[in-house]
Amino acid sequence: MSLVTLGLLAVSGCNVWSKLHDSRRSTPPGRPPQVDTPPAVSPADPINKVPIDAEGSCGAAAAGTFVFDMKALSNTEYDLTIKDLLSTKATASAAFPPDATGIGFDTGAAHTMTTTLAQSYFDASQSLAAAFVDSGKAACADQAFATSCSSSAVTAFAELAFRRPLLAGEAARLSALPQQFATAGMVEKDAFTAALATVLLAPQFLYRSKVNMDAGVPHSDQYALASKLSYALWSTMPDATLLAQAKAGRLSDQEVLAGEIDRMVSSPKARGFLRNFTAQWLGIKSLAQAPAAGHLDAGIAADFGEETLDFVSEFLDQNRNIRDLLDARFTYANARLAKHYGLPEVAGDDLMRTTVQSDQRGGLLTQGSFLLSTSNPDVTSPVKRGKWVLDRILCTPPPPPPAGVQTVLAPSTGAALPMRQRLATHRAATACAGCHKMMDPIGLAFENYDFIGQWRDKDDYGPIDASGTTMAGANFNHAAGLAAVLKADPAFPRCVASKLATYALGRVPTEQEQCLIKKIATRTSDRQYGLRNLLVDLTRALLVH
Amino acid sequence: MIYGTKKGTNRRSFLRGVGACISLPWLEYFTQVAMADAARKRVVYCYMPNGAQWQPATTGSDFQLASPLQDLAAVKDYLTVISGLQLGPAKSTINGDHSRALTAFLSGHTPEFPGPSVTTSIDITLAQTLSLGSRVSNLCLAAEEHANAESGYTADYQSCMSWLGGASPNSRDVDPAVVFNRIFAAPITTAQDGKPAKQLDPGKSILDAVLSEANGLQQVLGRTDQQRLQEYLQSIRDLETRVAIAPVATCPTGDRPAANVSYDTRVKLFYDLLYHALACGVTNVATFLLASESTNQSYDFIGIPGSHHDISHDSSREGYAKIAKIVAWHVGQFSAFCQKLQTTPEGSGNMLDQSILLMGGGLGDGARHTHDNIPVFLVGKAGGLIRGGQHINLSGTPFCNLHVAMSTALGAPIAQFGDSNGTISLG
Repeated sequence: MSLVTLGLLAVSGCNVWSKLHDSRRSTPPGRPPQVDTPPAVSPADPINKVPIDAEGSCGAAAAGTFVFDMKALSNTEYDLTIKDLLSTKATASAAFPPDATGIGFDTGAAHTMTTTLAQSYFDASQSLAAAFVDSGKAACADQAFATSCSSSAVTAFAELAFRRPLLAGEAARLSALPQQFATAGMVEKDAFTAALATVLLAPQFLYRSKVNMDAGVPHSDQYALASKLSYALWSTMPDATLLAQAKAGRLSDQEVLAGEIDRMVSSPKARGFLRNFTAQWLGIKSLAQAPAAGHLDAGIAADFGEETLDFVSEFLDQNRNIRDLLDARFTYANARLAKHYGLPEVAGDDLMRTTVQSDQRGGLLTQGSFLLSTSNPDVTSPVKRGKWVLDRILCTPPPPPPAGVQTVLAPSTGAALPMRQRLATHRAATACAGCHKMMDPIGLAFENYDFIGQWRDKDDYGPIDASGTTMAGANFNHAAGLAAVLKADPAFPRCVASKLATYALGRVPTEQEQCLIKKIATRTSDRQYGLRNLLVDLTRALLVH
Repeated sequence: MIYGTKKGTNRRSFLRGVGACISLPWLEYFTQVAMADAARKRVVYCYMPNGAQWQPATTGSDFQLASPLQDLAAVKDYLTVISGLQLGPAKSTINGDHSRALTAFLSGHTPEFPGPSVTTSIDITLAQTLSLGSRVSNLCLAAEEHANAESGYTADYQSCMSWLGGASPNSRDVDPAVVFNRIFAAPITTAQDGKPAKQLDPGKSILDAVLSEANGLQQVLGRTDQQRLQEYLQSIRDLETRVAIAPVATCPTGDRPAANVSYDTRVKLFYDLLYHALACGVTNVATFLLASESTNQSYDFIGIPGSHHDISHDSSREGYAKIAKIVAWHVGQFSAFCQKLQTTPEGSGNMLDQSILLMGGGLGDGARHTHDNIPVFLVGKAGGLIRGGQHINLSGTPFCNLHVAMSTALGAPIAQFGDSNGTISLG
């Protein structure tokens, strides 16, 4: 049973839906989804050796599709790379212009170099290099920065920072820098620092690029692959192990490569990637600035975000079934949050894994991050909640209202109509009905949660009616009932796969890639929808060629 | 080489907080600067999202300010209200009017779907002439970081009005504290120990060395990557030129703005920083996006809670009254900014005599997403080439004709821009 088979998508007047309906009708029905997979902790499956598209029905990649484009680091990638390279907690990107939005994920932003951004990098490279040298973590610190030491220390640093061996010209130029700067009048320590700053401002550091095979770096394609994998799965530079595999030319061995991907996906560093991805996927980066956040006690808006990030992270850590994201019987809460939600008491400020026992809480759609971010300043918005679910859970965003229509609900004062009735007038207008018949029933299922995510049995107008009927006539009640419908919809795992792929690729997938993603999402059902399995399959199919 | 850090200069003695009024040292300072550089012209574009309507009832010099413009009374002699302009490139049969309104405003072109891709905006072109000798080419400020994505268009189209061309939006600054650092080159604070990290002197040596590295890399890159590297080289070369421009060592800067301030405070801080940047000659070109297009910003601080965008679609009398109040608040902030320039002497007059400060938006009636009769007014006389004190109604004229007219008044004439089919007489 799914939204698709219920005929929800055949609504006319909401063009996204009819388009989607057409494309799905051609998909042969698959195995019935496993609705009640027990929340057992399963290790990542061994690498599935069958190619994703063994029969080749997705077609070959269009010519030029897989060209490795030179890419500037995003702000997050810059900070995490600096953290690994300099062993520092500095977050220099706080002083950078924000990343452009591009495709909705910072990995895909244009990252145009502008004078403004260049100045930011210029300032950061100098202060980071100075702090690094002052901290004593840089080589040569105890040798008074004699140029004899500085020289080799700079090239060793550059090799790490550039994520590949140096070209002959690079090594020659960079090793000469400390002497060159000293001759220009800098004291030895400053000359060494300036040489490190040069490395941090060089395009070889700020961009990921692949140098030509004939440039004199053995296995240059493997170093590029190592970077591609590490930035996709860790949002940072490759570690020593991965670089060693590239150096030995072993990443062309499929067994080795598969092992590395598995190691990377299992590493704690993948958590950084998943948190960054999740915050952008769900749009919960700045909850403290949500319209209704002013009604919350200090810290709770931030707790909402952390709760969701910890919750989703567990799915990666333990290879959990992604469909359980919608109704898992656990969450992460601290004392404040447990009290806010009415959960059993939790002590302290740190979020702890907490089992939930009632239908009131359980799954992403009962968490404050979603409930708060979709509310208006002092009232819930079933429309925004419905739109959010369609957009972010099913990847079928409804179009915005056409120009000239009245999109503001009749004021609640005077008419004094309950939310459900006010929305009904909305749906009576032909121009609005097509999409609102989709959005409103979904949003109204969450009416038991007020604009700050607290449970309520009634609002100002009386007991809450959170029941709904799909277009095909199936009834559901409350958020839990809706979650069961959404969970059974194959569009959900496909949507998660598509969002992950877009993030990892840093661009909208091509048609051929979308075909692969669909196959992977389908295959994931045979692999218990494990998030780690899904990520491994996507990486192997889309990032490695 | 660093603003405000010269030994013996106590910045606090000049200003207590960025919002402080002009004190005596400022006047002395500006008189000096003004004598040295009387002919400097500057332009600022401020963008009002979600539509605004402020057309005066009559044209000519004897016009009454419509209610959202009341606060401009103090600078009315410098004010030119231009009605009837249309933003043709924002029109389309598909959804996405907010995205096209903002992106076409300064680019004069219809942005590509889904983007990002649009032609170079007028501010970037003008900066090549106007900011030739400035330490900063242009400022691109936005009082709101978040932007919605609309109808499949990239969210960049609702968060950025300054474009370098192609797929490249200009870098936006959304944090007043960061802008303070940028324009006054104050030491960067690292989060590690909270202390300002040491600034190195040898910036030029580093930039030279980096250019050598980039040239080396150019030899071994594939063809598709060359363009990215060109962008990098151009930015670094530009930076090298600009850091070599000696700042006015005694230019007062005010104090570093606090972090995490509310929206209304942020708008005020940005205007103050903008004023300081212009007054100190740090740059002569700036854009300021007052909030992202289709913003959901709440104006509860003036008694209008709720989403600005939602309110803009309330086509009842009450809805339009609320929008007028929001617009009036922004006009009030803009007017305060204008008055600061007006009270700052320059040459034989004041800073407004040499400036054009534009405020406008790409939507007229927000509820109907109209791009005809978009709201636009200018404050400033551009060295006497703009008369000021008048309301002109040019029904059906392309907004881009104004870009052409302004470029001429600013001494950087562009014969044709976007969909322009002529110019506008502002004298």
